[in-house]
Amino acid sequence: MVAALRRGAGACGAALGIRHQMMYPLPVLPLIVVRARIALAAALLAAACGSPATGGPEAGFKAPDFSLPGTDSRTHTLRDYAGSQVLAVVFTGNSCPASQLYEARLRKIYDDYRNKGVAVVAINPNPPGAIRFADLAHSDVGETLDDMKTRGSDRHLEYPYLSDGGSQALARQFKVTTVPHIFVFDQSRTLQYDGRIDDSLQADAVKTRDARNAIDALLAGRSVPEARTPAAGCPVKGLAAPIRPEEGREPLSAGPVTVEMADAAALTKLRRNGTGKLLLVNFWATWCAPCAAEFPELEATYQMYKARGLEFTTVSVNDPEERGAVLDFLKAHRASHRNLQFATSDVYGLQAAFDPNLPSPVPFTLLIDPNGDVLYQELGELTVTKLRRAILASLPEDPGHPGLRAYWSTTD
Amino acid sequence: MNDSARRSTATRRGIALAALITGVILLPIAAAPAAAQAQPAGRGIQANSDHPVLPIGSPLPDFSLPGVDGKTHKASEYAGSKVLAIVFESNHCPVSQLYEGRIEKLYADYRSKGVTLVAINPNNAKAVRLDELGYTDVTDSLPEMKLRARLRGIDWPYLYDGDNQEVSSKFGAVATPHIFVFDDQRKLRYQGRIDDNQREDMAKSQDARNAIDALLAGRPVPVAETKAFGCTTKWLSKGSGVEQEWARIQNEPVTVDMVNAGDLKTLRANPTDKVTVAYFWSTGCAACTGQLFDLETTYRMYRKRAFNLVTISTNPPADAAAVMALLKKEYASSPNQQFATADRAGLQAAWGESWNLNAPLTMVIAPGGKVLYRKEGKIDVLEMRRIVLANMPDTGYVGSQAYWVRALQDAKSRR
Repeated sequence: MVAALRRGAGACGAALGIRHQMMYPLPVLPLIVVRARIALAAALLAAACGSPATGGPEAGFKAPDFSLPGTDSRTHTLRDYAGSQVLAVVFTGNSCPASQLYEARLRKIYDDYRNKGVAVVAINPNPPGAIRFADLAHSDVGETLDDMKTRGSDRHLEYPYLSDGGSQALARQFKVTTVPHIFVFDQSRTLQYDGRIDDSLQADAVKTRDARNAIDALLAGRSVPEARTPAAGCPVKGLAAPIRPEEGREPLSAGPVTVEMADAAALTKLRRNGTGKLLLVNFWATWCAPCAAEFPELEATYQMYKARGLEFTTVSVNDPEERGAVLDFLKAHRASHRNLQFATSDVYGLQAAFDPNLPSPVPFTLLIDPNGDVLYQELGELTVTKLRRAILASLPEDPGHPGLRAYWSTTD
Repeated sequence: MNDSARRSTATRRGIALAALITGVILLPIAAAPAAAQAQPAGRGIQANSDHPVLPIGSPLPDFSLPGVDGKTHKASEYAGSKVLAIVFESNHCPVSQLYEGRIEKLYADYRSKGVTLVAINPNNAKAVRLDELGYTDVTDSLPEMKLRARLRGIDWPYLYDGDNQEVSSKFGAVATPHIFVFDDQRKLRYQGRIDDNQREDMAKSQDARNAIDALLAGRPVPVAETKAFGCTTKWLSKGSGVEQEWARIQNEPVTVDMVNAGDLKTLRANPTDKVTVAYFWSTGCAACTGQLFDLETTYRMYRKRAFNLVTISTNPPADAAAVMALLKKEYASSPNQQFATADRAGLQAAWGESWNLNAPLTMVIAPGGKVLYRKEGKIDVLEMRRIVLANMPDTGYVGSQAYWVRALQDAKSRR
């Protein structure tokens, strides 16, 4: 069973639910719990692979009451939407690439139906504390309410976007294991449709707009053509794993930390970016407080995207005599990627060797594509979400989710 | 990579190469524009478009700014000078500090030759976080610029532009330090670095002096533009994170350890590699609690360096709740201790000092136990900070410690 799950997870590239499952010391758990967890893991896997979701609410399921914080800083309850003839509850999240690809379609549903008595409420079931760096390979932010606010404001989302990540109580009542997953309720708030928004991740390949068909039927007083479809996307995080306390950030990998002394030739070469990959370069110094303040964010950024091919090289402009302090700093930040330090005291000469247009003060951060073109630059302390959006717009297209580069290119 | 991608890459490289060759040919005629052409448009490193650097040949931007002398200074008041040098410098930036002596010499060497030097601080203290004050006693407000000027004997005009950064923005000051030299027509003739190395003894090219000398001699300036290394200007528009820092500080845990005679002897011997401030206080002493804020602020400034603050409440253990309440009120996330027994005199003796237990005692102890500072009662927190700065090893920025040692010596000799 375990082997099968592993194979399956590998094939679908969605091993997350399974990995959390594996973290449990199985023998110490009561058998029934083990069974339930394996079933859940299987369900997560099935969902991630796009096959029909198992479980889900019973027929006749009534919309449960809720009281959840929204990105508008207000608390939302079921009663807030009592005036709407139809209520569509969409479980979705920040980090899931399928959620991102469906965002525009969700917004269109909200826009098209807002004056027709249809309320759309988006709910994020992901607990922020269960999110690992690897879960954020397609996202600029995590899943906290603040992260949701950032996403909402960056993408100009107008529909309510609520967080259920605190307890996941609502997600459990809906038995939702995948995002995005839409639930459409009639006037009596009885469930009439649940499943996918439509039948293709690619907006231009959609043939059946299941959620719209259901809403249209309810508005017309007809019965819904299809009551249930499979929802495909990402597993809801944290269901199969213990929820971590939110403050505990995932420890960075404990790889070896080294620093190479870089002469003019090494810096000229760095600027040309011979890595064949997207290259993030950060110029910094131990005495530079903004550099130290942004460093953990850069480190996290690298952890998030390295599996997708991001390279990261730091360049300390410290004097060679300050090498000990440089190494201490890098070790304290577990900077186990390529680190350079100016090999001589000739700061200006070495900076010019990298690029005659390089601004001299630190920090300075830039993103270089495999051709050596500069895709992003920031002088002074950076806004990390801006950098991450530039990275997401420039990383190679994820074959499983074509359209993400375009999604990230259209922010702002 | 497919064929068309390969072709486009090759084309781009061809353009880059052509631009490079053109650039090399043009170099002797116009260095700066050639460098800009070396990168394909839009794909190289771009100049800062939010605060573009004043182009060579531009007229002097007008200004009217308050100075450390209490007067307002206008651009027009320097009309009689043959050359006007505007240098952006700041209190908090360690690079700026290392250039302070050179700015002083520049001012002194040229003042009798018709050259006026005016310094402007582009930063606003409200946009400088506590964690950015690791190399300074004061931040970047005008009152604190006055304190710096008094300490260092700064007699050149030192003006404050932090309120709205309008003047700094007109100049496009990228860093502190960053110098702009204007000729007798008040046209910009040089901008960039003061010299080519932050370490004075390693500097080979005196770029600012070369420019001034040329202007005084009626010759063209040899190099009109260079880069300026240092701390980025703290633009208010960029957002500083000051409020977020304060929110983080308020969320830091406050703890108290009960200490006995042995613990105190260890603290006194300071086996750590950190310059440590030990602060004895008690809840009943108003003068004591008033100083806690300044000391905790100091801790927030220096804690990323080889520094520690330990507060020790001399209250008996029965007062633990009151001690904790007071420390929490100050968000005292430094290591905190409290006498573990009611034998206050005995614990005081273990520390090895005698003082009135109803007054505060502040001591700065070097690694190994040497006492660097001892003060009963009210402290001058800036004096204490300078002693700390002059004694913390500057392994992360060599030269900073010497700056503060000299600052203390100069201040003493002036007294």
